[in-house]
Amino acid sequence: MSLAIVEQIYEVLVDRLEAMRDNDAYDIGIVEVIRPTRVGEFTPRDRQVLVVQGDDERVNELDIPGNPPGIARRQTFNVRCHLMPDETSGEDVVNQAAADIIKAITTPNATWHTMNGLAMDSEIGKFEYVNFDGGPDGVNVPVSVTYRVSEYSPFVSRI
Amino acid sequence: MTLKDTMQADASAVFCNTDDFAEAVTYHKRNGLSRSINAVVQREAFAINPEDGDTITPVFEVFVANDSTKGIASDEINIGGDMLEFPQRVGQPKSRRSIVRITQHDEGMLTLECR
Repeated sequence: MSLAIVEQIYEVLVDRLEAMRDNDAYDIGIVEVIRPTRVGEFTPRDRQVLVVQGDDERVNELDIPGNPPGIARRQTFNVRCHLMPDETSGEDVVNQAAADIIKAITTPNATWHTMNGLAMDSEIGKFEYVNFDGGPDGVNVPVSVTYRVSEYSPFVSRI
Repeated sequence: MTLKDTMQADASAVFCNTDDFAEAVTYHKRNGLSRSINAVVQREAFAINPEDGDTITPVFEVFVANDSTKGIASDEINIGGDMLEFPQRVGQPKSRRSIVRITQHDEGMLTLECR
């Protein structure tokens, strides 16, 4: 089965975040990277990363003519890190978590924005600090990825 | 024995009796220790987490005795990592669920929210 370009981008993002597991190069050790499903099989855990697909938008000014034309889209992925630190520790690693997520996503530094050659550009948006009112806290790091595909086949990149 | 003592004893002997509505669950502490306890598990509907991009998780309301051997003591529970292990649906294999908050507690019982 061939994967849609946006799905391939999703997998690149997850692979980069997975590199944070058991890796001394990062300050916080994450326990898992998951994609939430319709039936909600996950349970919130300390230092758990969720990659949630956000809004899709058309970017008409980056379309290119041809037959078929190339259609540009921008997809936002919300990278959410849950933090449930030990009640007795009083530690607050929310800023470290956001920094580590950026470090992971932007590796390799020179070409991170192409998502392994699948995208034209990528951008990290404004942090959103999450508080579940007594549940897990965390931080959301939105990543917007602009890519272009064939009008007839979103499985074919038209970078 | 005072009424208060009786209610505390009833919390584990009566309310959390597995012959009635309770079931055996496993309490996993953040430090790696665990023990089997009895609890009444209310399996609620799925909840939407708007803070999390509208993800969905099941919600469980769990009643346990406020007791360090037969239940969970209110001074030992740590909502920063403690988990309970029970089936998500009756008949399914057990899986671990995080205790995300203590919704209510007194000398006899704790009411916990697990997701």
